[in-house]
Amino acid sequence: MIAAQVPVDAERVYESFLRVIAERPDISIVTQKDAAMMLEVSRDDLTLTGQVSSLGAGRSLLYVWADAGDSGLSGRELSEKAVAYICEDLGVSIERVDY
Amino acid sequence: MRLIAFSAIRFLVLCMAAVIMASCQSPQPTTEQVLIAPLSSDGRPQESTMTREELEDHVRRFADRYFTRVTLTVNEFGKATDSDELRALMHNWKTVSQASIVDIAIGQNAVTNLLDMMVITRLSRLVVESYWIPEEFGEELGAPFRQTYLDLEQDIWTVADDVLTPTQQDELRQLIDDWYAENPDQIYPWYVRLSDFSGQRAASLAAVEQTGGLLSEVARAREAAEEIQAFGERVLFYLQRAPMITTNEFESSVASSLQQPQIEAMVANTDRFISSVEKFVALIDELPDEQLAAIDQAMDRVGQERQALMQDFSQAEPGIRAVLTDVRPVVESIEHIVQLAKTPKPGAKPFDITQYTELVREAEGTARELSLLLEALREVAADEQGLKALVGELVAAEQVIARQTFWYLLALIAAFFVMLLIYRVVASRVVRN
Repeated sequence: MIAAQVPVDAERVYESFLRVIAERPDISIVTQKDAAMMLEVSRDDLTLTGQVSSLGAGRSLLYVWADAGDSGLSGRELSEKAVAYICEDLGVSIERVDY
Repeated sequence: MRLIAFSAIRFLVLCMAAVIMASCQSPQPTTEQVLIAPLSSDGRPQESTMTREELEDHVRRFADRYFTRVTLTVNEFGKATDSDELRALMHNWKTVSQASIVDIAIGQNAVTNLLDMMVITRLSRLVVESYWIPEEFGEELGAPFRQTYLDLEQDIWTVADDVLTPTQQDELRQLIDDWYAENPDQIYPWYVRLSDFSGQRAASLAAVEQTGGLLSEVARAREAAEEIQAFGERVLFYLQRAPMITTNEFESSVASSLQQPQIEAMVANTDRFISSVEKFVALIDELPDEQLAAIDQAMDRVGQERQALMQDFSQAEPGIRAVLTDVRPVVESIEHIVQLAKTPKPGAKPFDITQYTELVREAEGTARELSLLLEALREVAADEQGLKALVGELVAAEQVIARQTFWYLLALIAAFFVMLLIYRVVASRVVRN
């Protein structure tokens, strides 16, 4: 699991998540729960679930869980890629913090 | 944007632990087939589309959201407070929260896990609002805590919409509130589970654990292969988070040890001693080269005093000879250091003691702090745990001192000799008496 603290409203992050997925016709949506701002997607044997929650004051948390299947990537690497795509779409930079 | 993840080292530990755990654990037995149709608030069955496997995923993801959110809140709290006690409390809060939430998430029954998550989340919010904010945190520091638990409570209750009817959700809320009303002294919510509750409501909700509530797949028993896979997922979930939990527990233990009164006194004395030495060193550092040569002369005088001291040692009464025997090797090593530290300056002015009144005053202060430090060390040395912490502190102090090796060395030598001279006076009085 990767959790990203994003200095952007939760709604905007979720919209970005949807936008990034919409631009990838090879990825299909498995589950979409807009009320919970949760999206589960898949491609071949890869599955990825993302969820956004609000931290208030224009900040949010983006969680990504991934199963990379036989892609040669780890679940974490796939999660980080997904976070990077969304951050690029939002125009924010990434700082990694271990906790 | 901040990205929060496990480190590579932790991942390596995780992989090693996975192998160990896989070889030690056996699969859980297959779940018995049970079917009791859940009832909605109006008495009619109302199934959701969520399966038990999906619920397991939802609960585990909630666990991740729970400890991520709590960790962020606790970390921000730690930065905002000046209180060491509160910081230590926050560290423990984070550690216990993570451990207990993961413990719930890896339970065998997804519905039980969900109900326990609901219990711990609502109870956490209640104790934060009723005790921790008014009694310990204060409104300003505690407000983010309240918001965190309100958000988490809403989060898990939303997940429960697919499992519990509105009536069952209300019953669970009432059950938790009643339990807390009857147990207001229970300010630590982490180990309370639904199974700790009693009465008709609790029994009714406990039945849902077996029926699956509104879940759509209760009519089917899971195959052994599915159970093994589910078990593997639970183990993997735990192992992926175990390094973080273990690290936090270790840090909490260290922090707790350092908060013992003896260690606190020792650390405080160490800080004062180092501060005193630093002032002393700063003063020496400002002296011109020729006056530094004068210090060497002073050292020679101290050396003469040292020789006299050594003579005293050999002539001491048997009653204090044992103590002096312990000190003698130290003095001998100091003599060696003095020889190494001497920096002869040809043509230097004779040593004028009146120019160094301030220097001597600082040296006395240093010796006094050293004495306090030694007193604290004696207390610390009385127990093994304190001794371990002491070694860590001394290593840290040594690193600080090593940064300015020469001047610190000089300062320590001077301070030590001042202390020994005082000791000699005291010892001679003891002998006379």
